[in-house]
Amino acid sequence: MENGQENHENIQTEEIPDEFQCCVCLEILYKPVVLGCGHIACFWCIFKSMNTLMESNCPICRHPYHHFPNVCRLMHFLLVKLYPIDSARREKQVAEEEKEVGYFSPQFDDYLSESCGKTDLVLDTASPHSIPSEKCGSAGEGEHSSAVFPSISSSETKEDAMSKNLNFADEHTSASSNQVLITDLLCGICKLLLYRPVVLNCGHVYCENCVINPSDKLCRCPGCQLEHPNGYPNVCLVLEHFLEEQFPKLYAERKSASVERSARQIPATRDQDEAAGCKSLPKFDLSTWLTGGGPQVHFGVGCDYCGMYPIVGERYKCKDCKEKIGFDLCEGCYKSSSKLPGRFNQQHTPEHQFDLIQPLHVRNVVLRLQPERLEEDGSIGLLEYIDEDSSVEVEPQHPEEDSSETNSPRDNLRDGQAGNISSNDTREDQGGRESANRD
Amino acid sequence: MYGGTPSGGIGISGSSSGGRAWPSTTSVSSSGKRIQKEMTELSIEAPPDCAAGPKGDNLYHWVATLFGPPGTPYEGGIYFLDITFPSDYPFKPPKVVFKTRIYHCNVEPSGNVSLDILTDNWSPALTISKVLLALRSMFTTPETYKPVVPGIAHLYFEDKAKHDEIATEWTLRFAR
Repeated sequence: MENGQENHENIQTEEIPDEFQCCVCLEILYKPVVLGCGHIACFWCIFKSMNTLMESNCPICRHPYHHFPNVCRLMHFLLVKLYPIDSARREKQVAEEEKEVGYFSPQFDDYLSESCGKTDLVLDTASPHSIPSEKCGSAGEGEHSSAVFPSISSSETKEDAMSKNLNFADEHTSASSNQVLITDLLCGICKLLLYRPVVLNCGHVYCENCVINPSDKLCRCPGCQLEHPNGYPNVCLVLEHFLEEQFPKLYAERKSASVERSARQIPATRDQDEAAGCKSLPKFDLSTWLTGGGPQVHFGVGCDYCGMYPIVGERYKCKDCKEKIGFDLCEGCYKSSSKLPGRFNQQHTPEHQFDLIQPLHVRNVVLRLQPERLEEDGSIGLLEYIDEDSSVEVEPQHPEEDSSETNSPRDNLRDGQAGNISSNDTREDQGGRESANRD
Repeated sequence: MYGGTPSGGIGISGSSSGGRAWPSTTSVSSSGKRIQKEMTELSIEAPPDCAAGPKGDNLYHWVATLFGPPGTPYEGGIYFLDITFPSDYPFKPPKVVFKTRIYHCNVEPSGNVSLDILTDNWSPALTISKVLLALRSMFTTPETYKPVVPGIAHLYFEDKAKHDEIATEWTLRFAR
């Protein structure tokens, strides 16, 4: 990942190369998500580093993004295969943390799950024919099946594959199980070894040339039909590097083949398209929102389909999902017919009913923020008031002198959660002025 | 965020009214793990002229030592810094304070450092070793356009020789 982290060493565990080390937790990537810029971090690491108030920035390159990506299953299973001991350790550790907090990351119960991993594993490996016939229709399962398939197709018996996988669960490792096969790393579209892999927001991996159509402004996942937001994704360099190292010959072949092809297809206008794609982002300006003119923003609430966080526009909340984390959709996803699982392992079904939720009025957020709360912790302060009902007494108690402490509001709000404290200040201040004007 | 703060009523209010989705959650143990990792990393290879480690038993309070880089008026000086990690580190930046007095336009008389990566431009991918590197480069090239002590920055522009002279004097007086 980052160049600085050269000396990661793990006693009693496998040696994890820097590129598979999460830049946030400095551990091996667990349930990796890949941002549009191509940088990778763990599911929870990215989630926790996202800005609850507005666009977030990549921890590594500060590339802005607004959508929380789905876990990249291909990479997840790759890492589990390469580093079974460390992955199992992380799995256990994250499971404990999740249990403590009450929020859960997606469980890949079709392959291995935290609670009943072993039985699932047996079922899965025992029935390798459960591969979906229409691979394109469910690329996620396609990847999953290819993660299971290879161990069988490579002239090994089922029992071998089974015992290997079970070995992983038992935290033992056998040298052969570390082997990565080409079938683990196929593009869902061309069915060849991935070349210049891009990871879409939905977590699916394709060759750049397969999924990006220069004539098309949008990039839509052929598997789950989810649109990739914010222009085109960048090539995931970590994965590309891995492919190049693992399969040098094949990758070179793929390279020369696609050079020929791209000469005909000309993705030369790519940069402009990218720029155009970026512009079509639903940008929202906080200042217009503060004065009530802009779109609705649901702070701290994300869409479970497309990952938009915070939700801008209408928010639909599932009435029937009992999970602590809730289940919400943005307007676009609510109106689309897609049926995807929630991002946090919610047991949402299409029969569930939705409520249209109004965002908390800006003045209520603003006025409920007590100065002493701000000193403690800005982000929690704000979050805490979001869900409280809006029957809040409006008392003119916002100190105008706060403005002297705050820097430029844009600066504060641009950065990650680090800026929350001061941005709260700012908002309080501005809201104060706003209501003063009304009075 | 759930663990350390008693006020962290995320779950409570979340289940009561409306329901909050996607809360921010940082476990204290995960921040501890990350700090520990940085500690081992630093013990293996620290950036040049830097050292850092926990003050005592508390993992969240560190002391760092910076040696004034050669070729600067801070040469020969030994600077001690206090580093305090928030409980939701690395999602919030650590607090860095100079314990040794220093004549520098980016360091307040109280010792607070004005470094963009320690406030607005913090990223969870940054580590203490990178912060120390940034501090080191602050010695060699002060950020004169965003000074916290405008007088020093002004002198730096007007009369660099005089600025360096005072800085050297401070180094001799306070940082030896």
